[in-house]
Amino acid sequence: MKVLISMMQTVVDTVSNAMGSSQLDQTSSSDIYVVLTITLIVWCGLFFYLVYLDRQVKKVKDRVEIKEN
Amino acid sequence: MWWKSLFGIYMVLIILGAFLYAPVAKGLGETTRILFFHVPCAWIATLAFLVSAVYSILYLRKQKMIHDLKASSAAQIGLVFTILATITGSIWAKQIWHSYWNWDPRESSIFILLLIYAAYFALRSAVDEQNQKARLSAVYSIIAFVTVPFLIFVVPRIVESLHPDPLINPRGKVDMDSRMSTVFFGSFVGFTALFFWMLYLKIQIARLSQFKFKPGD
Repeated sequence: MKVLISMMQTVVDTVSNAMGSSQLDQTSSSDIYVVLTITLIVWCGLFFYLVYLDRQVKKVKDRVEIKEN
Repeated sequence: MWWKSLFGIYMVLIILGAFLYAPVAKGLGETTRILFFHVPCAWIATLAFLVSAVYSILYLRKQKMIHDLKASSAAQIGLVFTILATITGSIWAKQIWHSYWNWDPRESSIFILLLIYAAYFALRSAVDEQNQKARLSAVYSIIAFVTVPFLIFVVPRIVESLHPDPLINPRGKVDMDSRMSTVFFGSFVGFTALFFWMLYLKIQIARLSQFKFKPGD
Protein backbone atom coordinates (compact mmCIF):
# COMPACT_ATOMS: atom_id res chain seq x y z
CA MET A 1 0.00 0.00 0.00
CA LYS A 2 2.85 2.36 0.95
CA VAL A 3 4.56 1.61 -2.36
CA LEU A 4 1.33 2.41 -4.22
CA ILE A 5 0.90 5.73 -2.38
CA SER A 6 4.52 6.73 -3.02
CA MET A 7 4.11 5.81 -6.72
CA MET A 8 0.97 7.97 -6.94
CA GLN A 9 2.78 10.81 -5.14
CA THR A 10 5.63 10.62 -7.67
CA VAL A 11 3.20 10.71 -10.60
CA VAL A 12 1.29 13.70 -9.13
CA ASP A 13 4.59 15.57 -8.45
CA THR A 14 5.90 14.88 -11.97
CA VAL A 15 2.66 15.99 -13.62
CA SER A 16 2.30 19.15 -11.55
CA ASN A 17 5.95 20.05 -12.29
CA ALA A 18 5.34 19.37 -15.98
CA MET A 19 2.22 21.53 -16.07
CA GLY A 20 4.02 24.34 -14.21
CA SER A 21 6.97 24.30 -16.56
CA SER A 22 4.81 24.16 -19.68
CA GLN A 23 3.22 27.47 -18.68
CA LEU A 24 6.69 29.00 -18.97
CA ASP A 25 7.67 27.20 -22.13
CA GLN A 26 4.83 26.31 -24.47
CA THR A 27 7.03 24.28 -26.79
CA SER A 28 8.14 22.11 -23.91
CA SER A 29 8.02 18.36 -24.48
CA SER A 30 6.55 18.06 -20.97
CA ASP A 31 3.14 18.20 -22.70
CA ILE A 32 3.44 14.44 -22.91
CA TYR A 33 2.91 14.30 -19.12
CA VAL A 34 -0.40 16.12 -19.57
CA VAL A 35 -1.40 13.45 -22.11
CA LEU A 36 -0.32 10.83 -19.57
CA THR A 37 -2.52 12.52 -16.91
CA ILE A 38 -5.53 12.47 -19.23
CA THR A 39 -4.99 8.80 -20.04
CA LEU A 40 -4.67 7.97 -16.35
CA ILE A 41 -7.82 9.95 -15.48
CA VAL A 42 -9.84 8.09 -18.11
CA TRP A 43 -8.61 4.67 -16.98
CA CYS A 44 -8.90 5.57 -13.26
CA GLY A 45 -12.49 6.74 -13.88
CA LEU A 46 -13.32 3.46 -15.57
CA PHE A 47 -11.48 1.53 -12.85
CA PHE A 48 -13.46 3.18 -10.05
CA TYR A 49 -16.71 2.53 -11.92
CA LEU A 50 -15.73 -1.15 -12.21
CA VAL A 51 -14.89 -1.19 -8.46
CA TYR A 52 -18.40 0.19 -7.85
CA LEU A 53 -19.89 -2.59 -10.01
CA ASP A 54 -17.74 -5.13 -8.17
CA ARG A 55 -19.15 -3.93 -4.81
CA GLN A 56 -22.67 -4.35 -6.19
CA VAL A 57 -21.83 -7.91 -7.27
CA LYS A 58 -20.53 -8.63 -3.75
CA LYS A 59 -23.80 -7.33 -2.23
CA VAL A 60 -25.83 -9.64 -4.49
CA LYS A 61 -23.53 -12.57 -3.66
CA ASP A 62 -23.94 -11.90 0.08
CA ARG A 63 -27.73 -11.87 -0.33
CA VAL A 64 -27.65 -15.18 -2.20
CA GLU A 65 -25.38 -16.77 0.43
CA ILE A 66 -27.62 -15.58 3.31
CA LYS A 67 -30.65 -17.12 1.57
CA GLU A 68 -28.78 -20.39 0.97
CA ASN A 69 -27.74 -20.76 4.65
CA MET B 1 -13.33 -15.37 -22.04
CA TRP B 2 -11.17 -15.30 -25.20
CA TRP B 3 -12.91 -12.18 -26.53
CA LYS B 4 -12.20 -10.33 -23.27
CA SER B 5 -8.47 -11.10 -23.57
CA LEU B 6 -8.58 -10.07 -27.24
CA PHE B 7 -10.34 -6.85 -26.28
CA GLY B 8 -7.71 -6.15 -23.60
CA ILE B 9 -4.93 -6.59 -26.19
CA TYR B 10 -6.86 -4.35 -28.64
CA MET B 11 -7.13 -1.53 -26.07
CA VAL B 12 -3.41 -1.85 -25.24
CA LEU B 13 -2.68 -1.50 -28.99
CA ILE B 14 -4.90 1.61 -29.16
CA ILE B 15 -3.03 3.23 -26.24
CA LEU B 16 0.33 2.32 -27.78
CA GLY B 17 -0.90 3.64 -31.14
CA ALA B 18 -1.98 6.91 -29.53
CA PHE B 19 1.47 7.42 -28.03
CA LEU B 20 3.79 5.84 -30.59
CA TYR B 21 2.07 5.52 -33.99
CA ALA B 22 -0.12 8.61 -34.47
CA PRO B 23 1.64 11.84 -35.48
CA VAL B 24 1.00 15.12 -33.67
CA ALA B 25 -1.07 17.95 -35.19
CA LYS B 26 0.36 21.38 -35.98
CA GLY B 27 -0.07 23.83 -33.11
CA LEU B 28 -1.22 21.18 -30.65
CA GLY B 29 2.07 19.33 -30.20
CA GLU B 30 2.03 16.28 -27.94
CA THR B 31 -1.40 17.27 -26.57
CA THR B 32 -2.87 16.00 -29.89
CA ARG B 33 -2.79 12.55 -28.29
CA ILE B 34 -5.47 13.61 -25.80
CA LEU B 35 -7.86 13.51 -28.77
CA PHE B 36 -7.79 9.69 -28.77
CA PHE B 37 -9.21 9.54 -25.22
CA HIS B 38 -11.20 12.76 -24.77
CA VAL B 39 -13.39 12.61 -27.91
CA PRO B 40 -14.36 8.91 -27.50
CA CYS B 41 -15.46 9.73 -23.92
CA ALA B 42 -17.77 12.46 -25.27
CA TRP B 43 -19.01 10.05 -27.98
CA ILE B 44 -19.80 7.31 -25.44
CA ALA B 45 -21.69 9.85 -23.30
CA THR B 46 -23.88 10.73 -26.32
CA LEU B 47 -24.34 7.05 -27.24
CA ALA B 48 -25.24 6.13 -23.66
CA PHE B 49 -27.86 8.87 -23.43
CA LEU B 50 -29.29 7.70 -26.78
CA VAL B 51 -29.50 4.11 -25.49
CA SER B 52 -31.14 5.42 -22.31
CA ALA B 53 -33.74 7.34 -24.36
CA VAL B 54 -34.46 4.28 -26.57
CA TYR B 55 -35.05 2.03 -23.53
CA SER B 56 -37.19 4.78 -21.96
CA ILE B 57 -39.42 4.78 -25.06
CA LEU B 58 -39.56 0.97 -24.89
CA TYR B 59 -40.55 1.17 -21.22
CA LEU B 60 -43.39 3.58 -21.96
CA ARG B 61 -44.63 1.33 -24.78
CA LYS B 62 -44.30 -2.07 -23.07
CA GLN B 63 -44.29 -1.15 -19.34
CA LYS B 64 -41.59 -3.74 -18.59
CA MET B 65 -39.29 -2.92 -15.66
CA ILE B 66 -36.30 -4.42 -17.46
CA HIS B 67 -36.41 -1.51 -19.93
CA ASP B 68 -36.33 0.98 -17.05
CA LEU B 69 -33.35 -0.89 -15.60
CA LYS B 70 -31.54 -0.73 -18.94
CA ALA B 71 -32.38 2.98 -19.39
CA SER B 72 -31.06 3.97 -15.95
CA SER B 73 -27.96 1.77 -16.35
CA ALA B 74 -27.11 3.42 -19.69
CA ALA B 75 -27.69 6.91 -18.22
CA GLN B 76 -25.39 6.09 -15.30
CA ILE B 77 -22.56 5.02 -17.60
CA GLY B 78 -23.28 8.10 -19.76
CA LEU B 79 -22.86 10.33 -16.73
CA VAL B 80 -19.51 8.67 -15.87
CA PHE B 81 -18.23 9.32 -19.41
CA THR B 82 -19.59 12.90 -19.40
CA ILE B 83 -17.62 13.59 -16.20
CA LEU B 84 -14.50 12.03 -17.76
CA ALA B 85 -14.93 14.09 -20.96
CA THR B 86 -15.36 17.27 -18.88
CA ILE B 87 -12.29 16.68 -16.70
CA THR B 88 -10.03 15.62 -19.58
CA GLY B 89 -11.27 18.52 -21.74
CA SER B 90 -10.66 20.97 -18.93
CA ILE B 91 -7.04 19.84 -18.48
CA TRP B 92 -6.49 20.01 -22.25
CA ALA B 93 -7.99 23.55 -22.24
CA LYS B 94 -5.54 24.61 -19.54
CA GLN B 95 -2.64 23.44 -21.70
CA ILE B 96 -3.87 24.95 -24.98
CA TRP B 97 -6.01 27.95 -23.98
CA HIS B 98 -4.33 28.62 -20.58
CA SER B 99 -7.50 28.31 -18.55
CA TYR B 100 -9.32 25.29 -17.16
CA TRP B 101 -12.72 26.72 -18.09
CA ASN B 102 -13.53 29.25 -20.86
CA TRP B 103 -17.32 28.91 -21.23
CA ASP B 104 -16.71 27.81 -24.80
CA PRO B 105 -19.99 26.57 -26.44
CA ARG B 106 -18.89 22.94 -26.12
CA GLU B 107 -17.81 23.43 -22.51
CA SER B 108 -21.10 25.14 -21.67
CA SER B 109 -23.04 22.40 -23.49
CA ILE B 110 -21.37 19.57 -21.59
CA PHE B 111 -21.89 21.42 -18.31
CA ILE B 112 -25.64 21.76 -19.02
CA LEU B 113 -25.74 18.08 -20.02
CA LEU B 114 -24.10 17.14 -16.72
CA LEU B 115 -26.74 19.09 -14.80
CA ILE B 116 -29.59 17.58 -16.85
CA TYR B 117 -28.49 13.98 -16.23
CA ALA B 118 -27.54 14.63 -12.58
CA ALA B 119 -31.16 15.81 -12.17
CA TYR B 120 -32.30 12.51 -13.76
CA PHE B 121 -30.72 10.58 -10.88
CA ALA B 122 -32.00 13.11 -8.32
CA LEU B 123 -35.49 12.45 -9.73
CA ARG B 124 -35.04 8.68 -9.51
CA SER B 125 -33.86 8.82 -5.91
CA ALA B 126 -36.75 11.14 -4.95
CA VAL B 127 -39.52 8.69 -5.96
CA ASP B 128 -39.99 5.48 -3.96
CA GLU B 129 -42.77 3.73 -5.83
CA GLN B 130 -41.14 1.59 -8.57
CA ASN B 131 -43.67 2.08 -11.38
CA GLN B 132 -44.01 5.80 -10.80
CA LYS B 133 -40.21 6.14 -10.64
CA ALA B 134 -39.84 4.23 -13.91
CA ARG B 135 -42.57 6.21 -15.69
CA LEU B 136 -41.37 9.64 -14.55
CA SER B 137 -37.72 8.93 -15.30
CA ALA B 138 -38.59 7.48 -18.73
CA VAL B 139 -40.41 10.67 -19.68
CA TYR B 140 -37.58 12.78 -18.25
CA SER B 141 -34.93 10.74 -20.10
CA ILE B 142 -36.72 11.22 -23.45
CA ILE B 143 -37.09 14.98 -22.89
CA ALA B 144 -33.46 15.17 -21.70
CA PHE B 145 -32.23 13.40 -24.83
CA VAL B 146 -34.05 15.91 -27.07
CA THR B 147 -31.53 18.50 -25.79
CA VAL B 148 -28.50 16.30 -26.60
CA PRO B 149 -28.37 16.85 -30.42
CA PHE B 150 -28.78 20.60 -29.87
CA LEU B 151 -26.13 20.82 -27.17
CA ILE B 152 -23.61 18.46 -28.80
CA PHE B 153 -24.10 19.06 -32.53
CA VAL B 154 -26.05 22.29 -33.16
CA VAL B 155 -24.87 24.86 -30.58
CA PRO B 156 -21.12 24.39 -31.23
CA ARG B 157 -21.74 24.82 -34.99
CA ILE B 158 -23.75 28.06 -34.80
CA VAL B 159 -21.78 29.84 -32.07
CA GLU B 160 -18.11 30.73 -32.52
CA SER B 161 -15.98 28.23 -30.62
CA LEU B 162 -12.39 27.80 -29.46
CA HIS B 163 -12.73 24.13 -30.38
CA PRO B 164 -11.47 23.11 -33.83
CA ASP B 165 -13.94 22.37 -36.66
CA PRO B 166 -16.14 19.35 -36.06
CA LEU B 167 -14.55 16.12 -37.25
CA ILE B 168 -17.07 15.74 -40.06
CA ASN B 169 -17.03 19.26 -41.43
CA PRO B 170 -19.57 21.01 -43.69
CA ARG B 171 -17.76 19.57 -46.75
CA GLY B 172 -18.56 16.08 -45.42
CA LYS B 173 -14.86 15.13 -45.25
CA VAL B 174 -12.67 13.95 -42.40
CA ASP B 175 -9.60 16.21 -42.44
CA MET B 176 -7.16 14.02 -40.57
CA ASP B 177 -3.86 12.31 -41.18
CA SER B 178 -4.45 8.66 -42.12
CA ARG B 179 -2.38 7.27 -39.23
CA MET B 180 -4.14 9.61 -36.83
CA SER B 181 -7.59 8.63 -38.12
CA THR B 182 -6.70 4.91 -37.81
CA VAL B 183 -5.97 5.30 -34.09
CA PHE B 184 -8.86 7.74 -33.64
CA PHE B 185 -11.55 5.51 -35.15
CA GLY B 186 -9.90 2.45 -33.57
CA SER B 187 -10.30 4.18 -30.22
CA PHE B 188 -13.97 4.92 -31.03
CA VAL B 189 -14.57 1.22 -31.73
CA GLY B 190 -12.72 0.17 -28.54
CA PHE B 191 -14.58 2.61 -26.30
CA THR B 192 -17.92 1.61 -27.88
CA ALA B 193 -17.21 -2.07 -27.16
CA LEU B 194 -16.16 -1.12 -23.61
CA PHE B 195 -19.44 0.77 -23.15
CA PHE B 196 -21.58 -2.20 -24.21
CA TRP B 197 -19.59 -4.53 -21.96
CA MET B 198 -20.03 -2.17 -18.98
CA LEU B 199 -23.73 -1.79 -19.81
CA TYR B 200 -24.15 -5.58 -19.92
CA LEU B 201 -22.48 -5.94 -16.50
CA LYS B 202 -24.50 -3.10 -14.97
CA ILE B 203 -27.81 -4.53 -16.27
CA GLN B 204 -26.97 -8.03 -14.99
CA ILE B 205 -26.11 -6.64 -11.55
CA ALA B 206 -29.24 -4.47 -11.44
CA ARG B 207 -31.40 -7.45 -12.44
CA LEU B 208 -29.87 -9.71 -9.78
CA SER B 209 -30.18 -6.99 -7.11
CA GLN B 210 -33.92 -6.75 -7.80
CA PHE B 211 -34.44 -10.50 -7.78
CA LYS B 212 -36.99 -11.47 -5.14
CA PHE B 213 -36.50 -14.84 -3.44
CA LYS B 214 -39.68 -16.88 -3.24
CA PRO B 215 -40.46 -18.69 0.04
CA GLY B 216 -38.75 -22.07 -0.06
CA ASP B 217 -35.97 -20.95 -2.46
